[in-house]
Amino acid sequence: METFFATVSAGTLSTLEGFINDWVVYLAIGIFAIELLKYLVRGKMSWRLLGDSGTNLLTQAAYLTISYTVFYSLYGAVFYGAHEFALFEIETTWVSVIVCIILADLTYYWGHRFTHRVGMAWATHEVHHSSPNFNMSVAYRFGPLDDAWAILFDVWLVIIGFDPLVAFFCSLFVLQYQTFLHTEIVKKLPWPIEFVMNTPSHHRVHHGSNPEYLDRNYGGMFIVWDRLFGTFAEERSPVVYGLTRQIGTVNPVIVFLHGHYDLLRNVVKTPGLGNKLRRLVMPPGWEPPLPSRATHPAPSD
Amino acid sequence: MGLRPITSLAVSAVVTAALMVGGGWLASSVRTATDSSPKASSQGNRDPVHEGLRVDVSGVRSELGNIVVTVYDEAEALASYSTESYVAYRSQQAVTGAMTIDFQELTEGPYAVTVHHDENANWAYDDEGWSTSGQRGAYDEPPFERAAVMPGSVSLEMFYYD
Ligand SMILES: [Zn+2]
Repeated sequence: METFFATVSAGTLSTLEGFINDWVVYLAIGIFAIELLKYLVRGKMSWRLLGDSGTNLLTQAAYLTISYTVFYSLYGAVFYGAHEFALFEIETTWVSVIVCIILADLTYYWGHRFTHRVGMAWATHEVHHSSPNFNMSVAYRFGPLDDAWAILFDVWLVIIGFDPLVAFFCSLFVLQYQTFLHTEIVKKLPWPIEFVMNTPSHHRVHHGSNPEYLDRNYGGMFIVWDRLFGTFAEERSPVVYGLTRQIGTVNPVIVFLHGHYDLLRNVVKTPGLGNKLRRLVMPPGWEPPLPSRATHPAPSD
Repeated sequence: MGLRPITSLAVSAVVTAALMVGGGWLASSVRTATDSSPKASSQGNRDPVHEGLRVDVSGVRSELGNIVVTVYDEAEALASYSTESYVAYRSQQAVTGAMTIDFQELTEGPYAVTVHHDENANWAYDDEGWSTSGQRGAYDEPPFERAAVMPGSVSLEMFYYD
């Protein structure tokens, strides 16, 4: 019990983070191998599927490049700046790390919901959702600005009073947990787990383009946030993965940038400055209202 | 389950804020061992031959200006780096590398120790070199509980900010 309340050093945390990072990758490779074998056995293997998986990894490489050159230092600057305004003085112990992970999942829930419901944020997050397949490689399919939006929500952990390094570690941990959700080989887990935790079943729903599955199951590690805030859906009918309008390509450049390209094109073609700006904040699928009838000449009869 | 989910965004926001603040408060109420038992500090090793508090400063980057050591015995004074309510204060010509500053009169404790390298010798606390007992990283500002040491010796490593 003592150790739970003892101080955890920054060195211990970053060592642990590196260790977790390595094992997530090893396990994901193992699971992906099983998935490929299953595709083969079921006759579902195709060049297209392999191309899509390769593209997923390429988007990850591009995303990491942007993260390392821009966003990690931005995280540092924003977090250490925000720490000046900390509400509580929180020491770094295993207890506070666990509390921080739970709260990091709550901020993740809202950040994730934001990226689905605000047009300009969806432009980057829709990359993750644009694969028509669902396997370990999709976990690595990221858009260019995914980190930018996450900062807005994760910074609250630091404002509450968690050490910037702890907040960063916990936010990363919430993402790493989700790697294992991207698989079809796990059907349903025992109900207490399905009730509290986010599982492959819940996350398949999140990746579904079926009308009843749209904008559901935003949680990272825990599904209780969706149950609490009314965004939960159970996996019942088979999931159709991808966007409501499939992008129909595995070209890595198009996959990585299609969200922002579409957003830009839509903004340009939307008439009126007000509607252009609204396009940036309204949910995907939003269309500007038709001009009101009063402005048309009255039909002559 | 039988519970009805919250569908109002405003109510959701309030619940979320309450969970965040509640979690922060809970985490802040957990105090490390040094808090409840300041007599046994990780840094303050009692040295039977040595009376008082010995401050070992390392990582001094130059011999410019002065090394200023201030010792506090209360949290508020530490938090504001008070220039009035300290228990002891010494200033010495800086020496590159390591320095030792003795406070033989400090025999009670617990104390929090801060070191400032006033390189330009302007007697102002600007962003030069700083360190506080119990500090874990350049941007860490330990609370008194963590900074607290008992008489004996304490080691501080300098952090520079410019
Ligand atoms: Zn999503």
